[in-house]
Amino acid sequence: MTRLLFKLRALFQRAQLDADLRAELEHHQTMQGRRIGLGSSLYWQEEIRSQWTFISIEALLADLKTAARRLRRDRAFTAIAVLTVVLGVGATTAIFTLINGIALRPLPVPAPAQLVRFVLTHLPPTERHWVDGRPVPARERSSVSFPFYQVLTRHDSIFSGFFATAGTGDIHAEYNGIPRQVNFGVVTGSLFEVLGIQPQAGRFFNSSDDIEGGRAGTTWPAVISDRLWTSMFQRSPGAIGATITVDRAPFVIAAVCPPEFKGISPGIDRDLWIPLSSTESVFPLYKWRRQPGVGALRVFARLKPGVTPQQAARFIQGISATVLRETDDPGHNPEASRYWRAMQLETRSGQNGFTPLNSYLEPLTILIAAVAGVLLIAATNLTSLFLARAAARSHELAIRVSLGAPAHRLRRELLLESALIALAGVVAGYAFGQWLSRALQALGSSPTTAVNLDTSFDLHTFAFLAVTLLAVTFIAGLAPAWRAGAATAARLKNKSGSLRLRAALIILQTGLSLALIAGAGIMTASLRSLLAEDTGYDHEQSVFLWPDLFNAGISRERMPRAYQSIAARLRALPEIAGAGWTDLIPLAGGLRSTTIEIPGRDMPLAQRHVFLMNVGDGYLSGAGVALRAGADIEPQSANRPTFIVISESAALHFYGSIHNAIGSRLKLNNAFVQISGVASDAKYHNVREAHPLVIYAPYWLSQTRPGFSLALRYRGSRQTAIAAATRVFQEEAGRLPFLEVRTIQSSLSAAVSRERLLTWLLSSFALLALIISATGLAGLLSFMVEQRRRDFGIRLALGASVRHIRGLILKHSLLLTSAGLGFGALLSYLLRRSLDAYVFAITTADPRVWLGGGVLLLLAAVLAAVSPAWRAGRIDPAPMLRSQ
Amino acid sequence: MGIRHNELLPGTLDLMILQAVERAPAHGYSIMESIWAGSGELFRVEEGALYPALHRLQLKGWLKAQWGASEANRKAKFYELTAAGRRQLVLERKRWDRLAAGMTRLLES
Repeated sequence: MTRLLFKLRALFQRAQLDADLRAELEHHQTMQGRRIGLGSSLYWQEEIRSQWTFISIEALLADLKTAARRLRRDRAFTAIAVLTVVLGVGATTAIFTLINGIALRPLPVPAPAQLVRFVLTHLPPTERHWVDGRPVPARERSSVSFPFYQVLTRHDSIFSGFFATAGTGDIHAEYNGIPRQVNFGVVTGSLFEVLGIQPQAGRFFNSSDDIEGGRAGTTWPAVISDRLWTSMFQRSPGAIGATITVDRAPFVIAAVCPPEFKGISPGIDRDLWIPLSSTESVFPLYKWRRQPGVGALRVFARLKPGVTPQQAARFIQGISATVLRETDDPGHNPEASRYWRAMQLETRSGQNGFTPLNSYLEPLTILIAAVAGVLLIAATNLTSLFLARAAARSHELAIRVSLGAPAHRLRRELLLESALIALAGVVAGYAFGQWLSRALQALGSSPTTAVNLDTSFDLHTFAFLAVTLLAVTFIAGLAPAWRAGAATAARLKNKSGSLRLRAALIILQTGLSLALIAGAGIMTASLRSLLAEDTGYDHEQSVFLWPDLFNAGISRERMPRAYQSIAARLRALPEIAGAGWTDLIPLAGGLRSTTIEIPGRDMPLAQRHVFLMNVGDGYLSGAGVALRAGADIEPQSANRPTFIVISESAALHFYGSIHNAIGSRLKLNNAFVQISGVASDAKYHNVREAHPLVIYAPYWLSQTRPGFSLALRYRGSRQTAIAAATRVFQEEAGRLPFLEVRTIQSSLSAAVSRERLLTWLLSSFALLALIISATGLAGLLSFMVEQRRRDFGIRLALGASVRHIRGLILKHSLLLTSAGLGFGALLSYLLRRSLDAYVFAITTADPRVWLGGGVLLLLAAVLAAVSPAWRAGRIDPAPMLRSQ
Repeated sequence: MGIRHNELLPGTLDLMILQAVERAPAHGYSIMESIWAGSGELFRVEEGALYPALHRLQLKGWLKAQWGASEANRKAKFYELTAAGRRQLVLERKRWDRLAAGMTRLLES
């Protein structure tokens, strides 16, 4: 150990060492009174120097130079090898940077590891998540109510502070009369002080802004992002103190965030933050301060310095029961209360914040496995290339071995060559991967939310690239290096060993390719059926319009009248076939679920979950949903019993038949309603729903708020219909509203974005794998032709037909591929469950996929054999025979 | 002419050098001299063997070197035993004793 340190020091103080040696020699000569022979003194000086230095480093550098020179000379080989690595590494890096950006990279705040977030587990058995159109028991809830937050923040002994975030989304913000839509976040005032970030201008709002009603006599403060500061205020310092209008309420800009801070949801950039307490005046319908039940606050806290996340977890475990007892709603019945208190409060790491992009993590994990397969194919192709080269150099290597070159030097030289190739490939592959990951983010963005993950170089990326580099170097270089080291003249003459190894690699590659192709095939078929699925709406002649009427000038009080008047005016137009309002656009991600009670029927709770849609009269006709029986929802009027419409599946599920359902009563939100009609099934939340249980209730049963959407069915062109509707909106509101246009097609396509990402990438990776392994196969076959040149020549001379020789090559190619297909089938069988969650209307065992994949690979095998077989047939036997 | 270092048993040179600097730090030339004188003008260690050995022992951590002024008031590099070197000297001495005793027994039997 000390020896290593001495040597390391000497490495950097080479001049010092030499001077020391000279001085010592001089002193010795003076003492001795005679000069030492120059030759001998040089000799022992060199010996001393060699003791002090790493001989191996210098030899390594020499070997590195040799390797580099050799690669420069073999330009074609180097180019192909590097390109192979670039493709493999590029794909892997792209996927990795996405995963890194979503789940690994900490927030750009001081000491992010000290942040935790809170979740509730052991939820009541009645609590459901909707997955793929089916309710499944929920395991974890990450949002709580404000009273819960208040109770939690009292248990602060190990925390230096708490904050919570509520709703996010796009909101109307105006400055100087210029309106725009910005992505905003509602947060407790404590957010910035707990995160510990400093504004680049102004002062952040803080926990003193969390009081009800705000600070007396002041306008609500807002914080803006660096980006909004640029686009709205051209970075003017006058922005601080300026008043902007957010959803028709005034806010004063208090501070500008530092450029690197874009909110706590990685990938989704926020531009505006407003204090939670201000929402009582901005959204008066949003009641949260005193409702102890379910809320929408995501709670985070910062641990005091020195407190570890493990200690925090234990602490929270200890107070969990107390917190739940203190937050139990007095209105709970005994059962609900028992369920409530059975829950557990737990902590999770908060250092990555919380992003809706989390739902992409699972498909990305599947993809990283897929790209690792591509990389493996690329690396084994490299192995094959190196083996071929080593065989071509066998003569040279054998001579060097017999001249006494040590085996480890030869091995190292070959490993260095593969390391150089891998290094070049990884560097270029990283750049390619960065580009690819930006392209993927564009693909994952919707018109409203741009995905913008931080993909800059960091320690994770470095570690990832380093591991990739080592893996490629060793997979590609180890076998050839080992063989070269073991080279002796005799053994190198026998090349069948290298051929066998390369054949095994081809089988491995073909197998991996088949697994990828099959995955891509399954996803492609599944995506096509998803997009072509009959949703129950009129895809051709219907459109959903989402106008921001509130900010265009219609007050909350006037909204119900405006809704009615707009729908009536539009229905009167000749180009409009139907129009009606809804509080949410189907299949667009929104969801409202509730449980109903049917008088006289005792059904378990789990079977009483329904989707709820608050609609106006004319909605069904506007969306193109057919009425199967009975009557549609009637226009609002006093003194009439409340009628609702239910979906066909709901009628069958609850009443056994459509006929029985009509006229029946049920209890919805603690009030009795009567079924007036049954609508044909239309998918509500997810295209995978087989039997959507939907209740269409008149929206005037609950509060009529701004933000409804209009379902519009038209005759003629969509443009004309939208123009007509826009005209009516503008006349009613006085101003042109921001308008979002959604069609069922566009919602579908947005809803299957994860599936599309998977399909798209799996297909490109499968294609990549196919190309790489086909080139590998072609390489192996031409190598085989070279090796058996004499053999083929003699056969041709003895009268074998060219056809026969070519047939041999083709047979070999097909044989290898078939073996690979067998291996691939086995591999795919082991992986068969991984895609289940994304597959629709096709099973992973679909024979079309497997046959298609197999045929594709066999076709590639034939193609790969074309050029080698052609050359084998063109061998001229004459020189062969003469040279013997 | 005495016995040259390449006629010695391996390891013997290290023992001689460690022994030579046991009492006080010494520079290369004086180590050479003291081995020559101390062995009754028997062992002649040449500079070509001495200096590489000195550096080797230094790398092993048994000797440490320092520049100082020699008796003739010239700048010279002085070598002295480290704690590890002192332990090594004891070991080497024991080893030599065993070797010599065995050799003697063999020759007298």
